[in-house]
Amino acid sequence: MDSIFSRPTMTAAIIRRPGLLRRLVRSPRVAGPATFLAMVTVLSLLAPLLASHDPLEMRPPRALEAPGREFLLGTDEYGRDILSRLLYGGRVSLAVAVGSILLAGVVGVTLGLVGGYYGGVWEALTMRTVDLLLSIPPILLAIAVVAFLGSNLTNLIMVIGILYVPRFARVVHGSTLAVKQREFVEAARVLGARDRRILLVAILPNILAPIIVQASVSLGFAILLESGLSFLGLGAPPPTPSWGGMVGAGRGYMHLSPWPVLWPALTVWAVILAFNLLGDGFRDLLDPKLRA
Amino acid sequence: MGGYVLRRLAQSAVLIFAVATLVAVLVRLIPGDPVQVLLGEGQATPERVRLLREQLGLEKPVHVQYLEWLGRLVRGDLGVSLISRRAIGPDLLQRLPRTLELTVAATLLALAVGLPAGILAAVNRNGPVDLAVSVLALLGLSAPVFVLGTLLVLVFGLYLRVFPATGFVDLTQDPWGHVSRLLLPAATLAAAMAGVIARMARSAMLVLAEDYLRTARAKGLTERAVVFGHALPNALIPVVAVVGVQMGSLLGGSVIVEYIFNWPGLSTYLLQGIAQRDYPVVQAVVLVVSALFILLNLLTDLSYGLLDPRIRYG
Amino acid sequence: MNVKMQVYNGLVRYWRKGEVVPDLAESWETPDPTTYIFRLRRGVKFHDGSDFTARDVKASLERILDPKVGATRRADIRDIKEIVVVDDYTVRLNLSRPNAALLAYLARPECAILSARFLEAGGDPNVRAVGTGPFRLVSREPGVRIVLEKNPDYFRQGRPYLDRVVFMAYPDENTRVTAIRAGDVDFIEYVPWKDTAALQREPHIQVFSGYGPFMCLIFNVRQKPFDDPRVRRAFGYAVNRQSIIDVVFFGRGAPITGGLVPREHWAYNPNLEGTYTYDPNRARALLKEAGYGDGLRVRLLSTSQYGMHQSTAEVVQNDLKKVGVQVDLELYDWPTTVDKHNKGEYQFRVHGLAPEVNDPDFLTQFFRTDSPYTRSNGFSDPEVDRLLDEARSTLDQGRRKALYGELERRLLELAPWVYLTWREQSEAALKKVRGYEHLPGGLAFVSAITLEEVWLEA
Repeated sequence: MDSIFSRPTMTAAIIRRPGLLRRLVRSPRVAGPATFLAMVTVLSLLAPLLASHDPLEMRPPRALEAPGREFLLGTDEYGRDILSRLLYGGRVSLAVAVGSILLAGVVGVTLGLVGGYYGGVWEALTMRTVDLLLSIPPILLAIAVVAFLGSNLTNLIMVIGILYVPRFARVVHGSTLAVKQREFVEAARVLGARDRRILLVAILPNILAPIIVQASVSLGFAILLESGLSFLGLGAPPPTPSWGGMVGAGRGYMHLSPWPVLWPALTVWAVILAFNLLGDGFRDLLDPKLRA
Repeated sequence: MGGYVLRRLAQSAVLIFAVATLVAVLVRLIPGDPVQVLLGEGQATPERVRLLREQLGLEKPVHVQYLEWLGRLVRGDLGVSLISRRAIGPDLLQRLPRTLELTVAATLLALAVGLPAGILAAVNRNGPVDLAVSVLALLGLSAPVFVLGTLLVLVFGLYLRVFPATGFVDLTQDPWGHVSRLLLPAATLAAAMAGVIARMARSAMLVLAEDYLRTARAKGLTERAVVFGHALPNALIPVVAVVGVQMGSLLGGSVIVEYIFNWPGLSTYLLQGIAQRDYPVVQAVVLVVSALFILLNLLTDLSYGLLDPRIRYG
Repeated sequence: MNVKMQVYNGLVRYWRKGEVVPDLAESWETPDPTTYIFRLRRGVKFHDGSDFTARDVKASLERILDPKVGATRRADIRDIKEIVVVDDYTVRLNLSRPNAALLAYLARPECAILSARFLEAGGDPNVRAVGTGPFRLVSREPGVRIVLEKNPDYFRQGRPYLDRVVFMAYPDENTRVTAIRAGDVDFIEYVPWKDTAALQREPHIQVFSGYGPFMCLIFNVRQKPFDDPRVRRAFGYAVNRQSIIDVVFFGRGAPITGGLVPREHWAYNPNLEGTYTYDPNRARALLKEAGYGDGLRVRLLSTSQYGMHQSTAEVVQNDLKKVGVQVDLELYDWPTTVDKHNKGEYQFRVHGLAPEVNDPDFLTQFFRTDSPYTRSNGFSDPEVDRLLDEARSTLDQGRRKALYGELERRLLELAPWVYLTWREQSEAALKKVRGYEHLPGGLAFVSAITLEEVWLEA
């Protein structure tokens, strides 16, 4: 959905610039969303300490209550405390997002690097594999994984990871194409460096910018995708709360009580917003050509 | 260029074949089979399972089934549904235009909203309008489709009663009824795409405007003339590319929208096929959708070359 | 099935109060316990214009009995040994032994009478529908809609009232509810429990409801720990049925503490009430007795495709935690769940079922050795089989009642299943829809039989 922001043709940044880290930290466009996301992460990690209620405890008589003194954000359809579930849900949602994007990153970057650098048959093979992945209906893939391996978080990470491989592969492929023409790659080759070394030392560091941008944006959307899978019954297995699962379950009760869907949806939105702003910030800093 | 197109076409054909094969295998590998679906739990005695497997031709080895399927496919026959025992071709042909229609309507809506919004944001860079567009674009991007869809149905279909909330009527039977039922699902699908287009248009405009402004100012043109006369046409190139990619993903991404709005397109057909383990239906839908998707990608790639003479294919 | 009821007729059918009434048969008699003689209606025509006669009855029932066809009701009417065409309008069924439940099964829509001519010509009823029913099939698009129109030659004078009926598929329950609230459709089935109260409050909507379907736990008794009846019984005490009713069905249900024969039925046994109540202490004691005092970890099969299955599983999981049983949910889509069930690949599972006939013989399908259900969970008890068989072939109602009472007591003791709750089953319609009736009990799902008497008030 967002791959265009890092269209390969536009990116050929070099990350190894002095003082970059300091500039990253100082830039409000990076530090702002980063701080917010760090806060969300800390809140989720501290859920057992912060949550006022057991996130799993059902109280049927108190289902679908509006926010009040006892349940600050109200209760869901089982009478469970929404706030506590949000806190705990963050752990699952963030873990799934990070895990799946790591997986997608590693696989996608490898495919993209190999295809872009070697070209020819390798290019056709890797890029058409990516097209193949894109052509399989996500729901079929998700059902297949769940049916084979069972519904647990690891498998959820795998499904989302596979679905995000093409984005990384495409971005990296394009960037590699652009970078491999550059003089330092030529130089390395002339000096007799082996392919693996060229890929890892000369090329990879120079295409990190679009990868980082892609990763930060994808992290947000992985959370969204988890909610879509939850809606189709393929998300994080209950009773484990996850933001996406909460949105998916709350949707059916929207006309009875807006709160069960509103809070997790707002959270997801804020987190996606933060990840996107972070991505924008990274791009502006790392990719001078696009700095606006 | 001609050689490149031919090569890509050949690759596409191989790819479509690979998708068809992979899906044929995948759908048979997942647990549950059409016989179990048809018989359910109360009727699945071994004799009846065996009988039905025979009747449906499922007792043959998988590779034989697959080769038979390929053989029929070559003759343009998509096979017969295991559940409804109807020919798949006509049913699919009936549904395909509905999904295309939804996709095109969503694309047009997204362009109509996203493009002006992006340009407006670029022109008012870092102003309140820019901020509003950024936030709204991300809102569109980050709203779960099923929440947005349900919200639109509740507000426009139920509380305001502007549009019928659900359902589908044929265009030929009731044109206005058809279009009025198309709007809400199209708008739901368009939200994310509009966000993408707005953001794309904005950043493309900004990058270009900077270069052009310098030259244009030297020539004594107004900023306005530069933006609309020079930057905009060039900014459209990446936007077109985005639209192509996005339409492709809409084809496959309309599952939830079609489901929520009960729009009888390809996605609901696929969903139904998967839910009933109707192998030939799943294979047929995936084949058609992926062929469309792959061709759309190809067209998008080629359109770069047409729009931007600097890009050449070797 | 809804369409089947509109397009076909049976020899007999279920009607408004769940009673079996004449349909294509005008009357019947049983000169002895193994003989049924049906006198058929004259002047009935199939949709293709041909006349209905005794030959059609013979062809249709023989088709069901033919093992090569694999018909749904074959096992249920297997006692029919011979179908004799006495004359054009008289059919005699010779049974191999008395069967008190025969008419109850013949009244099911699966025992519809098809055209003998159509069948002999090799017609496939799965593809074309040639019946005698109140409506004719005009067109169908699977998963989207089915269009029926009035059969002008229907044998019941003046029926049906409606000229045209369109069945629309609404797989998403929320969309379905929105459709009736917005008036996009006139009638919906399967009202979600969370929405029933809100729909009842709408001035332009009416809701038809009844108890009938039930939720239960099915144990795979082949494996540990559920090979031990004490563990199964412990689960029966550990689950708080009221919380399932409250949470899953929004109060629209009733706990099952006794047997499965419903309260209003002649075979109901009030003495069984209260056999299973919410009693965590007793559950713990039973688990301890069975050697699982230090806790137990089990997998519960359910489906994520249907909210009520998943929610019930979640409540069961929640309740069992309190007696030291850790439950891991295995949630799959429906076909996978069915597959796992049929292969017996589960420890225990949540299920929602309904008696398919208005006769306690429905228990045969669930508990008789070699039925698809017992084949799945491995339950087999000679005493249960004997009671089921004897009750089926006993014609005296008082004697049958005693047999079923004994049977249900034994089932509660052995607990191959734990019954949880009755759940309400509802349909909703605009107020202008008149003449519809919700049939009692598990027959709720054949309520559409009354469609031929439905009309729309101006």
